[in-house]
Amino acid sequence: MADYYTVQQGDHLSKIAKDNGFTDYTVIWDHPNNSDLKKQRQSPNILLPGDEVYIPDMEQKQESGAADKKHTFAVNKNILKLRLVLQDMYEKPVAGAKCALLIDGQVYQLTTDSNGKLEQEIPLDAKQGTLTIRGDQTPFANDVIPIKIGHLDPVDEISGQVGRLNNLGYSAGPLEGSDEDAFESAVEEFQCDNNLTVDGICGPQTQSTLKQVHGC
Amino acid sequence: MSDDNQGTIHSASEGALIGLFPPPQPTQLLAAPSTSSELNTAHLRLIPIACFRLEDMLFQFDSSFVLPEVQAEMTSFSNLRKTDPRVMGAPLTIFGHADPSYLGNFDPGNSNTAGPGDDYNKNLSGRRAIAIYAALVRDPAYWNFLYSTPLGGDSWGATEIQIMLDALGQSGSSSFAGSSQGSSSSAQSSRAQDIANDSGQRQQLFLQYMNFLCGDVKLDKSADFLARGAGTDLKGDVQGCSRFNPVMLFSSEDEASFQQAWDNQDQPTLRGERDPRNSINRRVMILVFRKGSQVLPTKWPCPSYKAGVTDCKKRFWSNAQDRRSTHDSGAERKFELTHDTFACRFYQRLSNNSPCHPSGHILAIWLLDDDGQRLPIGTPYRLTMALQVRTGKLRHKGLIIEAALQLADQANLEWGVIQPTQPKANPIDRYLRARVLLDQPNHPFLSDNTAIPDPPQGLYPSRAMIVLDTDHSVVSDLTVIRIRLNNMGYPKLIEAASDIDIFQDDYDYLDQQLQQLELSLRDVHRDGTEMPLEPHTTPDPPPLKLGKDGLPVRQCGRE
Repeated sequence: MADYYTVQQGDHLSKIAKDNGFTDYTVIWDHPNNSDLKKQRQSPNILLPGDEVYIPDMEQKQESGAADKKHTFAVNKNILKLRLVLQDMYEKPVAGAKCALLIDGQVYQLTTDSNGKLEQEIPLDAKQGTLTIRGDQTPFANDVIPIKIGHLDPVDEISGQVGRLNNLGYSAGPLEGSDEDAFESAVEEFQCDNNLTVDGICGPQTQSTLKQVHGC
Repeated sequence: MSDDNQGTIHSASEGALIGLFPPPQPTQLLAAPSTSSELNTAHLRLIPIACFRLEDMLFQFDSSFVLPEVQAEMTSFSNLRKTDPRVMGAPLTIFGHADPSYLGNFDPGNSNTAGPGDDYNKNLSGRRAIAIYAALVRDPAYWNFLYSTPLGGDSWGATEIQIMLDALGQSGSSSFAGSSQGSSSSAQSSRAQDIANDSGQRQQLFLQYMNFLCGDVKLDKSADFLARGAGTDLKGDVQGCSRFNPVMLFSSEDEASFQQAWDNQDQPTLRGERDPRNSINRRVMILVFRKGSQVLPTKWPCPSYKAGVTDCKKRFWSNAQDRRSTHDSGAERKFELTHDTFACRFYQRLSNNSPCHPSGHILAIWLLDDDGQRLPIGTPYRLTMALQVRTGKLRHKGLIIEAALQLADQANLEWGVIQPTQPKANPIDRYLRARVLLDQPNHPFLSDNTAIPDPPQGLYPSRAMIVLDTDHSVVSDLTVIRIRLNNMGYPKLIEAASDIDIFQDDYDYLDQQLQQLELSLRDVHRDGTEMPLEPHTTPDPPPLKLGKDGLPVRQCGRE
């Protein structure tokens, strides 16, 4: 029965789609009832807990074809990936590093490219995992980095700002922004590193740079 | 063991503090999965693992000249490198700091302009940092630079040369008895003067002195520092923080009285009270990072030790002025308590979790057995002071170090024994004594590299109540003598004889008069000196000298 679904932390649209029997999230995302949401959030992967998503009924599709011929039906299925860039605090890429990515129980052995990037297709309803950099070539080797998929909030929310600042190593404190000193210090450091006006306030320009530097 | 959030102290003395950072909080990534171009960038932070804080007393006053006392601290550092595999070969960076008042220039200046006090102090603090760097890498050219370019009170000359000669045992004093004090000291100072005037001899002396100071700690410019020596003027490896990051700010009342002392040119107050109390701010901090850590000099926020303050100020909090120059009424402001006295955001991030900024006091207790020998590594203890309870095992022979403590007048110490690795016929069950000192052991200790065995059941059969000995300058006060003797277990052993006589006998100080004995008592209590194990014997008389006639020759003035 078509209805609105309230987003929980960790939800991203591919997961919501799969949970409701859809293999293609665009059916939901492109639905007219979700046009405001789409305009506001822009990415189906960065939703805010509390957002309302309209889940339409599954349509019965009718395709006609001659009975005596062979027909191929392609089911639209979206691909979901996890794309990470690993750098040190001074933007030097952690390049050519062998990593073990564990997502929901499945291990993928990957190597970062020369930009420190790694990319892996993951299950549509992926929730969490860890990244471990192998070998002893870097100071980060053998640290187990927990990853929470779908937990990144929009950049115009404090939690989204803190999340990105923390990912970028600025130690902005808890997600609610409750450690004001830490948050302000992180914003100022980020502004300073990116040649923005240093005022400790994460306004539209800072947010836009943050989104750009972080990658989403 | 200290609270894990603050790391642990490796060694503590009047001159330096060496600590190990707690394990870093795991970086947690919040990632958006990608259906198109979403990308999540993670920056993996610089991870400090250890800190080595050198106090002001290791330098000549208002100078970058490094005093011989650094040798003991370098030995402790060497110890850490040898016993902790993470530290050997891990890259360093060095920060120098100045105190927040310079010759009475209390006005820290507008946050947008550099007042003369900030510039001078950046220079001075940078000079101290480079002096340490140079010693570690054995490059006398940097010291020659400091020597040839004096800055205010930081002016190396014949006096400093003499200190180096004395430390190296090259004072050139005559060996025959009877030379007048006057002539030998003028011979010494003329040698110092000669070296002072000769750049080549100076550099040779510098190198010898550096070897003396640093011992086997010899570092490589291109491997052992954070920027690998690749930065212009060692950017990334060495920097001066001027007076931007004080750890202590005077109360507003004290500050006002020092301002007045400055106006009145009251040198006794300025030199005798303000400067010593401010010494805690004039430190050099060496940070050690995880092996393999490296920074690009161009990206490192701190300007080089030679540059001005402009880049420093970019890293200031927006309320930096308040942070580094507000004085509270009635109490000092301390970084360790409020974490809000530093102007520099960046430096604060490096210091927030630092064990070299312990909140509270450091208590060091020497624990010796009944034979006056330091108890072995692994001995379990429990310390109770006020409402604080700390348990642990000795990580160094005979020495308990606990940090972040609120002090009380006394503490309860309990301890146990560990099973000896080779069982002896008579297991150790004698009365164990505790020797107590406060804050400042200055005797470097060597730790055995043995594995720590587990304590048996019934952990703490021995206990002592210890009274804290707070002032090492007090020697002849009866109460203080009682405290020291009590801590050392004397009254509990023998009531009849005078306790200090027993101490004298135990330590073989038989030819010391009372005054000297009081000093020795202080020193032993402070340093945890072990009792000599040899039985005391009267010395043999000197052998008789035989003259040409085969008969003993009379020594002049002796029978």
